[in-house]
Amino acid sequence: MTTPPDVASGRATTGSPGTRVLGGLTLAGLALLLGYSFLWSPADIAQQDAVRLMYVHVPTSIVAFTACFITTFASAMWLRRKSDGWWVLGAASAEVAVVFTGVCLLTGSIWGRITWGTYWDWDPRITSTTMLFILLIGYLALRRIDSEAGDPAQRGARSAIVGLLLFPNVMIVHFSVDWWRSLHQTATITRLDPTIEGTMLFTLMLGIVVFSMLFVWLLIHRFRLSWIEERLGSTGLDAAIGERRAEAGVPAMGGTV
Amino acid sequence: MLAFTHVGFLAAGWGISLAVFGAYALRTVRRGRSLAAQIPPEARRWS
Amino acid sequence: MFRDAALIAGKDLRIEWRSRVTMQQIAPFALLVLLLFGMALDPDRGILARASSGLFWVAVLFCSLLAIQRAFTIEAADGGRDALRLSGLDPAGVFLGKAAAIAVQLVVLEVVLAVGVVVIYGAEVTGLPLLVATCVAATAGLAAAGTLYGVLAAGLRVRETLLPILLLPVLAPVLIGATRSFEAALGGVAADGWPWCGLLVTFALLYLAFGTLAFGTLLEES
Repeated sequence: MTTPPDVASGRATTGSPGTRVLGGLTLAGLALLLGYSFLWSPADIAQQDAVRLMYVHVPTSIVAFTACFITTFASAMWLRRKSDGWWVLGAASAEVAVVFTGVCLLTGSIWGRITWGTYWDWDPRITSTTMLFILLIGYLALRRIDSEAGDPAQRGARSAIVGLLLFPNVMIVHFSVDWWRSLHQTATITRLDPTIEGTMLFTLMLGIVVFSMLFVWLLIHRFRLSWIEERLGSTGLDAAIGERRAEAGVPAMGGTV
Repeated sequence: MLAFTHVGFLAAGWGISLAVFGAYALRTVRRGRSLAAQIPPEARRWS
Repeated sequence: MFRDAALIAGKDLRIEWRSRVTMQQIAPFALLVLLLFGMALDPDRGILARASSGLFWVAVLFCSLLAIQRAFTIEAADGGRDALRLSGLDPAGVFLGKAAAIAVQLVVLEVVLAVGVVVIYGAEVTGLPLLVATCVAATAGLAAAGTLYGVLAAGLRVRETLLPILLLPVLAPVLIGATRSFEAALGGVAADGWPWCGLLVTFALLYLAFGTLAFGTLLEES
């Protein structure tokens, strides 16, 4: 347990043949998306070139909410089955969700600056996406505390309950904010022209595909990273106990502490 | 540079987004590598 | 379950009655918040009267944080939480009881704040039934969600800083709904407010249901 692993038997990394293929495809897709976003798709009539930001904004928004759903789902599954896999998935998905939500807010804010002249507007979607951001951060803060709480068998219900409520809360907040802001908005410039078609629609779809692939790639790596952290957490403790026992000259099993 | 309106904003938006994803990906993979080196190969069931 | 709830609610309220923390500390804090808002927003420009609803409910939210943390701190000493676990009381009953006690304290605070808002901000009450219904529904939701997240944060050392960031985003719909409803009741068209009251009722029911189910698990963990 205390000898270093034999690295020659496989590079020490969270990568795998699958992720390398996925990663390569994602990069290629990203390049294609850049091409379409900037070169091969036209500017919008109303928004002009601001629409090119939508090709990041909309996909990251979809991924962020999906990732949040995954965290809720994983929390629910953990409550039923208490397996490490679901436990780790919840945190991994939430952290990747934070990154996507942040980028979504950033691109949305810049888009707003171009179109409306301000970085912030009490638009229902910016507001509820910001709330999603904060909800995720709260969840991750709780997770960090919960994982330091020691015995893995005991901790977890706290985070799981909060995780379980994450997506429902996001939906309730989104619904409330939407209803609230709809009282004040006249002819809304919706984020996306509903009659979007042609190359722009294709670019948007491509964006969704590419960012979904990016999400999966990031999620897999983050999941494996957390998985290793869990392993190290438990083996680290075992190793430390073993060393203490060895120092005390106590046999590994059945000795008094 | 192709003649876009709001070039600066577009560049900033896309640029920062890609930078954030790149940085996060790099950080995750690097942490993964350093931690994976500390556990025995059998625990790494994916490579 | 309801008997256990009454037992717990009675216990919490009796503790409150004897220590008078709500009346002597949280209520003054509530008034202070109103005054600070007044100082910040310049009473002469008519903003305060128009913003009464929002300021009222923001103040309630802040007070609810205090009330909820207090509700669980009283058990932290002397191993009260363990005693609660071992007592054999139905966890759902414990949840409802604690939520009820918190709700009662919040209602008292809301009365204080309502008087404050009418007197200090010059708000005029045009729809009293709506006002009362909103308070009841919103308080139920606040207490239910607050008790749930409160017990969650209770056992942690960082509970004072963690509870707000966990709970307040969850309560945002209550803030939105209650404020819109109050705006209708304080000088607006009452009919506009009732749908929002409906939202508050739905929220309260959801959290009461979920809290009843989940409290047992959380009590074990804390």
